Amino acid sequence: MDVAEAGAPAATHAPSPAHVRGGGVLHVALVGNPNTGKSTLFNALTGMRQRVGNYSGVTVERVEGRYRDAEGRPVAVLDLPGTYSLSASSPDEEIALGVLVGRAEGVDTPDVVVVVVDAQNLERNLFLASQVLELGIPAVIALNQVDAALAAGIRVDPVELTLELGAPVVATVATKGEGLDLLKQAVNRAAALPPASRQFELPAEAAAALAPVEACLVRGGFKPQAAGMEALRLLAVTTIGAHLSHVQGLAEVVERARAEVEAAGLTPRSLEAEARYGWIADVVERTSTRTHTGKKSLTERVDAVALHRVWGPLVFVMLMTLVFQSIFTWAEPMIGWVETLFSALGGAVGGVLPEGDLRSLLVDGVIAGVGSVLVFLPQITILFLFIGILEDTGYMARAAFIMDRFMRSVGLHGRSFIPLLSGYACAVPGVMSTRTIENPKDRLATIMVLPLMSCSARIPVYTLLIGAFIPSITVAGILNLRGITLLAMYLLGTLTALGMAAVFKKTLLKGRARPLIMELPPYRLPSVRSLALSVSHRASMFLRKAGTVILSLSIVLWALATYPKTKPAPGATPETAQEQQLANSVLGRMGHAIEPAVRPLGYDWKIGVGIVASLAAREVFVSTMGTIYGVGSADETSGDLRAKLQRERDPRTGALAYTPLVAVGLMVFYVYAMMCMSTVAVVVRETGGGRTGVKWAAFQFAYMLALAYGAAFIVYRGGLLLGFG
Amino acid sequence: MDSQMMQTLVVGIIVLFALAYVGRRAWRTVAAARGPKGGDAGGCGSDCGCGH
Repeated sequence: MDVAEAGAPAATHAPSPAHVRGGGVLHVALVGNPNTGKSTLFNALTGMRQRVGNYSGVTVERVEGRYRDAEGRPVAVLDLPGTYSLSASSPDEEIALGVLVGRAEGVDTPDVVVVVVDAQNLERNLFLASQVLELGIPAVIALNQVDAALAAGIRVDPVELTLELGAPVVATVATKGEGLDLLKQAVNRAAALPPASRQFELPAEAAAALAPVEACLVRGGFKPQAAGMEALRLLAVTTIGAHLSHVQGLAEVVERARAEVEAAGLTPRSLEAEARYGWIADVVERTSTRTHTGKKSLTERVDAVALHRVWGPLVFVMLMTLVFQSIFTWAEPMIGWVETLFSALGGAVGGVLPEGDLRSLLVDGVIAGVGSVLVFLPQITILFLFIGILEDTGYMARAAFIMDRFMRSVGLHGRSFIPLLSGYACAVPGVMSTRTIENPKDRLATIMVLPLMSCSARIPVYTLLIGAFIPSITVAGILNLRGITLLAMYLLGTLTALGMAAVFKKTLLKGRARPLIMELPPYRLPSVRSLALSVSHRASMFLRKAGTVILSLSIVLWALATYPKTKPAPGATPETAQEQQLANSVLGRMGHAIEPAVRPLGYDWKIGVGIVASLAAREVFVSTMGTIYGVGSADETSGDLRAKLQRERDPRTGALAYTPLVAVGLMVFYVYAMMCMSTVAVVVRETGGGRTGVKWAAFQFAYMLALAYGAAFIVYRGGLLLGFG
Repeated sequence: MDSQMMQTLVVGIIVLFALAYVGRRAWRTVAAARGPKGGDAGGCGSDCGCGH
């Protein structure tokens, strides 16, 4: 079958410029259920030509992109939040509805709407499509994932579907880029076609009851078609949306309509669902065929294990173990290459430049500082590769489903696990994705514990310390102690997050746990191109951070560690002179001032400074140590940072300054401490902004710092008592 | 101006630029915490390293 078939009725000409607003730009909105491939389609249409912002006044992400059609005209695409209907029960759904009815502040009504529909789940997806088609905006249906539908024995006829819906239907496979040209053509021609309208009849009594509601909406500025859709929708919702707040007397008219519908023996809350799904069932029967093989699909067979009460969690833990083992096993050789490269670079630069401050800045500040973070790029890449594979195959949704049981046991909504999972990559988008959690207390509890999930920024800290102080020993024949230690840190953070959530839900944020209803997408092979794009995007972001924030901080820290200059004491060795210089510098003095606070944890002033500097970003701990040991080393051939940490001695006692116990304690500190100003800032914003937001962020920072200090203290002092010192 | 002084001058300029960048980043982070307005997402910025 040619998956690029379209049911689009031919138009004889493209829409005239009169159909397109100022500047000749066609404005298109993309809408659809979650898991329909809407974002993949958006990415396929716009490529990297995207911009991310916020809708005015709400914390909902606004994603826009552009492409040029076949005639070279610019087309602006707005990717609306995924929604199952226009019921507007969450901020995301309100925004989608507001944009489509032209009531979103700062957003123009789209010229064309593309409704992305999953060919495998036509019945569920057509509910939203039928609502959108009634709004009177030119629309195109993108019938996506037709390849997966065919594989599942489902065949949808786009031509028949076009006739049923009254809007052009284009079959697409967004992951492979199939059908996109036809879709773009259909978008161009859609504005010239008559808009679709409601294709089913309501019971006469219901239609009569809704007529005053529609009239009220028309007086409020709505088009008659959109008024029809809104009136029917309003029967089922409990609150009038913000986009309707300007319509006078609406609440009273809707109440009267509900009473009339009830008096006619109908149920107002379910009237829309019954009417639409009744019509949809007929449409699906007329336009699609399903071949039943009698055999279970691959998805069903895999889910029999992946979602099993016992095997499911075991499979999850095994997969996570594999991920963390691989991070060490596969990355170790690459780390060595990167270290050798930077060491050679430092030597080369040092050999070319004359002795002086500039050479010291470049070698000890920039190369030592930035280089010590960049060596972990292989591990970051491997982590994101695995996350991408788990997401693209559809397994992540299963992980959330498995974790729902544990989430509810601590009072959280199962949907909280998806933002928590995002926290493994970075807490900032994780906190922002809590917007999909409807209950405010569940949302707040999730935000409060989310930074405990070990993010990718902690990887350089963990792997530096594990690489330097945890021996590479095989355990149980196949596992490596280093991989197990890394897994242990991730587990520690995750379990503590669940524990703290339980505490918050029983105290500050009391409330009942709600059941989870979520869609599990079918398993699919990850797209290599999509994975490669995603991983390279993350890697380039990491490199960009290294080249901006970390580079700047390394330079500033180098300056603090170098000035003021100290004349060496007479007869002092080069090493002693360097130590004195470092101790008398601004950084050294700051470090010695902090040292009493960190001594109980077994840290010296250098680690103390590293901890304070890493408030900007956790990776800065590594670059700070790189800079300190670069500046403080008289021997330019003293090898990589791990070796320097292993050799470091306490000047007072001559004993080794850093031991495996100190390293484990420091890792535990970083598991718990909230060392990321970007996360603090987004928590302030997402918890209400202003004083309220600052209060919650301050509370979160304080409790996490207390956890970090207390846990590190227990680990270090307890370890000493047990003889591990 | 001898070589050492020249080096110190160049270093000083580089450090000042780095300080200015760090200060600007800190200001943007604080500004992003103020509340949702139309425009850039802020909070994370495009170079927080997590790809969002």
